[in-house]
Amino acid sequence: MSISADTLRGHTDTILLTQLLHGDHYGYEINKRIQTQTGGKYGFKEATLYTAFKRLENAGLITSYWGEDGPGARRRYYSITDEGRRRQAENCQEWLETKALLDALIASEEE
Amino acid sequence: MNMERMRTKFIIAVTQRLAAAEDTAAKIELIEELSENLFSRWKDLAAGGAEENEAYARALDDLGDVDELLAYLDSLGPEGELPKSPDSTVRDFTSDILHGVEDIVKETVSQTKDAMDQAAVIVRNLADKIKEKYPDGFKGKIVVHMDRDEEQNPEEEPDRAAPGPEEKGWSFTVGYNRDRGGFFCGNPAASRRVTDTVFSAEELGSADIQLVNGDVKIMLDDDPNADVHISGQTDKLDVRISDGGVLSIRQGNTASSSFFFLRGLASADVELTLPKRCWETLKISTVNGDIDIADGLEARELLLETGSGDIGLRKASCTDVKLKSGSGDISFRRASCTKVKLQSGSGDMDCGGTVEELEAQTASGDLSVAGEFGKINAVTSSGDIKAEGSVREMRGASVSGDVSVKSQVLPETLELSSKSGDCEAAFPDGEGFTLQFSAVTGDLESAFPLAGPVGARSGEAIYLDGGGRLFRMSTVSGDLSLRCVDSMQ
Repeated sequence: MSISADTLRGHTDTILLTQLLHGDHYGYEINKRIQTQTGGKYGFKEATLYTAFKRLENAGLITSYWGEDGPGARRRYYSITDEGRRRQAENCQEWLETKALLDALIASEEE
Repeated sequence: MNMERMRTKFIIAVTQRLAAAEDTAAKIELIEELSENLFSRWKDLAAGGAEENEAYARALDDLGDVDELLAYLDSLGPEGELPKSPDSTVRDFTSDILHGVEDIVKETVSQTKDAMDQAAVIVRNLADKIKEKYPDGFKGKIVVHMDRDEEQNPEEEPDRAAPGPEEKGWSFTVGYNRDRGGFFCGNPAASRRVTDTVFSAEELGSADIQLVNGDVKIMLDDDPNADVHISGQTDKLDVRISDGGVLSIRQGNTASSSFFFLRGLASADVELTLPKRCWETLKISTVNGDIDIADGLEARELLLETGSGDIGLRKASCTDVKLKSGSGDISFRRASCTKVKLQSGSGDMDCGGTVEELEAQTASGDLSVAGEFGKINAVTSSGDIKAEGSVREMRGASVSGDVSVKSQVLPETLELSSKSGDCEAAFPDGEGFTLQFSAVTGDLESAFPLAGPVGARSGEAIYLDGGGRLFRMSTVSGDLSLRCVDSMQ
């Protein structure tokens, strides 16, 4: 489990960019979606999520804005930029290539 | 269960965990965003049947590694901007390096016992080796070059003079000398030791006092030509006058005596009497101690800093003032200043008088100001902000406290915000303004008949012709109110 957690950690940016492909979301919402999609097996700590968002924002891959979101809450929403979409597609492509390589390598070892 | 109480509980918990970071706008936004996420998590857990306290603990655990957040905040500039490129920093004082080195040593030494023991072993080994090699004393020179100049080996050219002003870099001296009581670190070429407790102030323009344990009291002699008097535990102090006319006072003139001050085993108070005239820079810092300045100080620049003590100041007229306390209170009454910056961790701050530009930051203290202000910019996490008198421009932001301003003149700009507290502005009637407001669960109450979506949660309302003045007020769960006061005229 720790190996897969490490592998996943290396793809934090791609995971977050993917979550934003089809709409703006706030931090907790994204985390909840990730947990649902992984059947509760994976989720980010808030600190990791926040610093990742700031890093992506600083790199121009996402933008953010405060949304009034009742009742009683003001939430920061994150939105993907065109540059972010490009990066997400590149990273996905890269992953598919890595995955194909790994499949080939590990499968041949097992034989 | 009370939802607001729980929301505030998360705000306080996150604020406390980030206490080590400087209080900036970026920090407050971070607290707001993360505490709201944790609160949402808590609501989900509670809705799923978890017991209130267990849900709180689990939600808070989801915050994760606070060091990551502290490192992020630390990477931002003092106003929460993105970091500047490293080559834009320009420094030009040898003393900056010395103080920097001193601070790092103090920090390392005080933070962990392990680091302290290691440092002690390293220093002791070094001391033994140097003593062995130079039984009668030793003096070395360290030259710090910038811009990757050729490295200078101090042992090869021991008599090389300190770099002149045309050379880049600094030179300062470290060494071991029995006459000086052990190790020393300083720039003796540029300053001379003073052993008298009374001496002429003629050549002095500035004073720089840095203590670890002890109070500092500054008294003023009405005669502008009076001598300087130093009292208190002067035998424990290192007093120097630099060529630039700076009087510097430190506790412990050697590393070995500083050791005791750093561990709280020694303390020395300083009482300094200065002639009453306009001082260039007065800089005082003490880790554990109060700072008290007599009435009527005049200085171009005044910098006072204490870790756990209080700062008290009255009737000072200065161009630039910075007062900083970790857990103590700051009181600055009857000020007459161009710029004042107040900063506290948990202490309360009050400021009165005439100040063109006031900047105040506190984590959990209250801020109370009264007087005539050109511009106020105040930020607090859990404290209240209260401003009274005449305020031309004001920006006040709190996470869980109340923000209020009562001005006898109609401000030019006004920006008040809180998350769970109330925002209140009071000013005279007569001229128009435009109000942008937002209160998610609270109400907007106005003594001025406003035109616009007043009953709505947020929007833009206009009084009279709008007046070209833009006021902004926002809160999430508190109320907003506008009141009318009698004009000063």
